[in-house]
Amino acid sequence: MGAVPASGRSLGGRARPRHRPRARTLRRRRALIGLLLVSPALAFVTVFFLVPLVLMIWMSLHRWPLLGHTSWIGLGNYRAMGSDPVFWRSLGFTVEYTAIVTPILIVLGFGLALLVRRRRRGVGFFRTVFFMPYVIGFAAASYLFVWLLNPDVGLLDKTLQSLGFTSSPVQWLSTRTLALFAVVLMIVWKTVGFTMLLFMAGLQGIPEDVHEAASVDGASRWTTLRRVTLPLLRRTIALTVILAVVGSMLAFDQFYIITNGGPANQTLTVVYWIYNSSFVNFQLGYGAAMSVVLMLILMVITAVQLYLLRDQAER
Amino acid sequence: MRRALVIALLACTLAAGCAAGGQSSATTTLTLWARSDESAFISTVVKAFNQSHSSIHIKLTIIPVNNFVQKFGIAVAGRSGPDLASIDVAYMPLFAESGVLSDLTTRAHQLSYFDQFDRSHINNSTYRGRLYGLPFSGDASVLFYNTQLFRAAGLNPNQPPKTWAQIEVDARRVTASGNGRTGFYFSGDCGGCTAFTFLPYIWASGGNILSGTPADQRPTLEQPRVAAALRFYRTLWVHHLVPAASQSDSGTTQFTPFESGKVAMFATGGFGVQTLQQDAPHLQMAATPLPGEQGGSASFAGGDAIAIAKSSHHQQAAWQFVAWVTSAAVQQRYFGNVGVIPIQRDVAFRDYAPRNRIYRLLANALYTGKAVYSVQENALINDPTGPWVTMIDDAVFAGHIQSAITQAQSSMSSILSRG
Repeated sequence: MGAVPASGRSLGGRARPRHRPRARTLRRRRALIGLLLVSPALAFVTVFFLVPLVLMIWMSLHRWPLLGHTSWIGLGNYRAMGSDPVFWRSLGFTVEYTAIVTPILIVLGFGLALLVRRRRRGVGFFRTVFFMPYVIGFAAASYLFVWLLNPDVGLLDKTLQSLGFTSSPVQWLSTRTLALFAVVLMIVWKTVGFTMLLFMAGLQGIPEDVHEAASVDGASRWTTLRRVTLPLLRRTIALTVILAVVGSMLAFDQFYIITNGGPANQTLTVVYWIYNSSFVNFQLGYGAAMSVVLMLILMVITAVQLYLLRDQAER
Repeated sequence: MRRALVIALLACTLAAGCAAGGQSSATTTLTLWARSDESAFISTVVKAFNQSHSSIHIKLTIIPVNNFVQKFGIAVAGRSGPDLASIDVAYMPLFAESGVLSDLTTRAHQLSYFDQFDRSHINNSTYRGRLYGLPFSGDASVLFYNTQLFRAAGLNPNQPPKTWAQIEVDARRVTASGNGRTGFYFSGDCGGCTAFTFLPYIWASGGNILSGTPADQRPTLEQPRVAAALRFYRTLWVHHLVPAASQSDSGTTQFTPFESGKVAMFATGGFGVQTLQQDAPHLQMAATPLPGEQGGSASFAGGDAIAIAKSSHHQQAAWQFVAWVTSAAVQQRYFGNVGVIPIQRDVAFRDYAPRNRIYRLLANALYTGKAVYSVQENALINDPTGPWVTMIDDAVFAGHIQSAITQAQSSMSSILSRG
């Protein structure tokens, strides 16, 4: 990895002395072109991220009903969170859900990538099959599962019964455990293809001679995987873990559609509670305050992950 | 003038509905939203209005009861709501405060029958002295009991319980009479149901759950009456005087146990009478007020208010419907006659109450009843994860009465403090 040149050094500054006016003009022009090139992205981020973010923080400092007048309450919404048991319960549930989903996605995605990474007969078919569910929207996939899990008309119960696993339809959404299981099943089916794709790309980025060198040195397949492949996949692992964690911490659609937060709101995620506070209880200011807190939590989690999974060379 | 007429005629010939309906060109079409609970009688009301008014046509939309507040709130916030809405009085403070409803104060006071309206309804539709809705349909909670089961247990059906202790004794007697009978039932996991049927026990004993002005409200759950009422339900539960289904009943199956003829006492309202008579016509039942700990009584005055959206372009036509639907003749014919308590006192006591003893009791209960007044009623009471539902679950079914109260008190304070 040391072969890659450090990217921070400017190419223009290497050859010529610094005070030459021509070089300065060139540097300035390059900087200008660079700015010009990133400006669409910059504008996009400003309009669709920074402005809403500032508005959200502004809203969180107000009593902001969906209807009627807003009034300044300072940190009132943040203080109220402390004695809101629903917020803490939903946060706990969301963390639990994330802790279940993330390892399954990583391990299964990596396993699938190992299976389909090499070109051989029929591999294209399996790659397509594994990746296909990813292109369906969350809402459509959730409705598909609502139907699959329906005890009266769903396919799953019919199959389980004809195979002799169960004797009567399972009420999939009647208990917390089963409802959570159903959602995890859907999410893994839907998103594992994407994790697989990321790992495939990562595996393809590892030069073949590294593996050859390992086998020449007499390393077993297991040792090669553990000592060579996985360390070289560090960046890919970091990316997939961060994507899985952020995606799971922001889970909403699947719970809104499949479990409706039930039974008895035991599968209520933080975003679901933010939605309910804002658009059922009409407390938009409180919803905004919880969004800010959730964003801060995600920033901390992501920062910790980036630190733990940083490159060997950076340590 | 002439030009306007030509345009109107032109518009009329172009509009298919206008030609097909054969209505005059001056017809104003108003939209009315109502919750699904009212579907039994409201379409008849609307039909009667449309038949007697050639210049106004009401288009009724029924909204599923659990989505009403959200759908209506978001619609009026986007100025795409209906002209008229029939709103649960429990949610009137929220909409009255938010400024999306038309101020009806002046016009309402000009009605000759304004003083006849139920006070609790008027109170819940008022915000800072201004009136944003008129009473539309009435309902009130009372305690129903199965007279056959009372007799079978050796109790006198003409002497219903007048205190909590008597409810407990009667419930024990019925449960002890065997055959799978139980003395009492309530929907333990339903905020709306328990506000309607459990809160009156607290009120009747002199307690309350909220205090202060609408703008500066505080929960008062730490009053001893709240703990006493929770202990009362807890006792019924631990002695198995209540069927086990109570704990998880979110209201959807609330009538089943009483309808089965195996449960002796169950509190509900006027809408419950209709359901019970339909589902179990042979059930022999009577009703009595919900008592306080040592006597006295209270009830939750529910039902709907009729309101005009501020965004409506047909304020005058909408008001015509409001005035028509609250009038004595209409309240008698289309509400009282089908079992809904009329919201005019005279109509309620002259035409509705004399029909039978249950109606008389319901009319009394409505006109002496009260309601929860809070702009956050939904979050405090109805939300299935809200403090009220959680408190009842923790206190009655798990037995942690004191901690349940402390927790709900802080949780309600949190809801009222934020926005």
